[in-house]
Amino acid sequence: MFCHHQEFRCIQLDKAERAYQFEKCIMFGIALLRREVPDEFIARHHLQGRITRRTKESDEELLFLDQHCVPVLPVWLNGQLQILAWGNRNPSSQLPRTGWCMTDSLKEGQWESLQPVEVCIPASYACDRGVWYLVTEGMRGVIVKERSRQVVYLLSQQATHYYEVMTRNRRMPVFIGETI
Amino acid sequence: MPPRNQIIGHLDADCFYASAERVRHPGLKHIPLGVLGNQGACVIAKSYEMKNYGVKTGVPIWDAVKLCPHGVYVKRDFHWYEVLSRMMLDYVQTISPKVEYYSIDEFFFDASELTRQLRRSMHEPAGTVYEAARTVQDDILKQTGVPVSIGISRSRTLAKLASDYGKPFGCFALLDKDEIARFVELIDIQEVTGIATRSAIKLADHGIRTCGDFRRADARLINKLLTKKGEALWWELHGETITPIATQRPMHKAIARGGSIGESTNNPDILQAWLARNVERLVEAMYWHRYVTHRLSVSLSYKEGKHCSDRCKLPEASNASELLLPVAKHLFERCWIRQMRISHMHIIADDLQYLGTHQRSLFVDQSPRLDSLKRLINEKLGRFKLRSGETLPLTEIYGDDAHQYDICDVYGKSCF
Repeated sequence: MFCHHQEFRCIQLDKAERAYQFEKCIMFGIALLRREVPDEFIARHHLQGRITRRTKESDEELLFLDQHCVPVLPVWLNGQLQILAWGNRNPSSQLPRTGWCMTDSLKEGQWESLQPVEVCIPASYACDRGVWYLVTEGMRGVIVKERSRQVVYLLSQQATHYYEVMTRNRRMPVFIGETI
Repeated sequence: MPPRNQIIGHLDADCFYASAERVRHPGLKHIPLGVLGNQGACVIAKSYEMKNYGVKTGVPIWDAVKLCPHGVYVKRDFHWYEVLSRMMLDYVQTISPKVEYYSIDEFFFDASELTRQLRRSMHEPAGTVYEAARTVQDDILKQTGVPVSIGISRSRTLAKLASDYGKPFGCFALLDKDEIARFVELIDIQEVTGIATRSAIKLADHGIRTCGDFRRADARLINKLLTKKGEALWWELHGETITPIATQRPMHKAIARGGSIGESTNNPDILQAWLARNVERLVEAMYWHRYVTHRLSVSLSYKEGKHCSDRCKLPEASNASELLLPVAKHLFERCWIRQMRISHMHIIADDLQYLGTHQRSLFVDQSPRLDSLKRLINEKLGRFKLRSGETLPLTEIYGDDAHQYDICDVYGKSCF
């Protein structure tokens, strides 16, 4: 079972370096370099509160963690960057109550009724079980619709030996154009 | 013997692997950055920012994360590091007639004519050695993006101490005899390359703890304690060049390929695949260095803690996989404990000789054609594109470019 299927924990964004210090929590998150996201997009989606930086001199980043009160992810959809809800937490919803979609279950057709569409999720860094690592382009996900609501799930696959040793997680995201 | 008035430069890239990652990922600047080994378990290099949090080279990732939770970790990529290393080497070769490629991020060079070499025109007055070294630093930073520290002095040992002193992005010229004496006086003797713990203990027994103590000691005593290599360091610390700049790598005593096999296993298919991969890499290295070997060893370490090795003399000195792979398999079978999981495997070729200088056997079938075919194809299509079918179980290894190169695959270095 993928660890991220566990119950979501809610954390508030904190300032500066403290936002990154959650090594004891089982969590996943991504960070996107602030300079790669247009100002207008940040304002439109009220992402200012997600801006932080690791050190005083380092580049600003936008944080998207599965433990945020409202977990969302940036998604490239129809040639445009969008912000979508990350997974489903609502027990009354018919959608899977997780933030992840296993590639095997997708191949086996378990998601077919939801008509998933594969999308790219841009990321500069990702964090798994407290370990932040570099991501060159991003990772793959699928979006599904429930009435007018669109939800994105990150695709997961069996971890490489390197990834498993680094994060102690047996599953990992599906990275775009690289093996980690 | 090197000329008495030779000036030697030592150029050392600042946290090279981390700097190299920042060249291609500028967003990593100012972020505490750790470079992980290919199995992801250990920090093999780190940026100064991460060092400030107490993360040391060799610490496990889980300890590093506790010390520096907001640090970012990347997988090492020796192929990329070699690209930058060769760019730096190319540059240094334009400003010095003698350059030693000491390691992937360190060079020794003859700096005797550095000021003249860096004059932009015949009419421009030559600056000081320090100014010339600063120019070298700036040029390398502009051309490669890698910050380097430079030490200039009368010997290799002093030049290295000088470059270490100035880090990061330091530049230090140490030429005057009195200045040298003052500089080395309080430096711990173990800071000198070539003086490890055991030597330091021997010296400490005679009250020698700093470079100043070492210089004041009798050269004959140093020779007695540390052999002629130690005495060479004594002269070098007095500003006399004893060890020349080696533009050619001296012949290896042995060449080995192998290391961790990732997840420990006793699966025979996986183990045979690693054996074939390690032999292919060994053959490749021997061909590059133009070596043949008279003797092959296989060394296995087990997860359970045991260690086994075996060796055998070859019927003829060779660097052909047609001969080496069956011998390696034979040795492997002899030291493989089937119930235990292997964690590390090494194939070692020693008793080396240069190709063409060895005695050919009358009784060995001469048909090593496979390696030249592999080389021909891989030179065009890329490393390991044509490889032994026995390596097929290693899908993860061959599917990840980061596994294609290891530090030992960066050839031509005089150290490691």
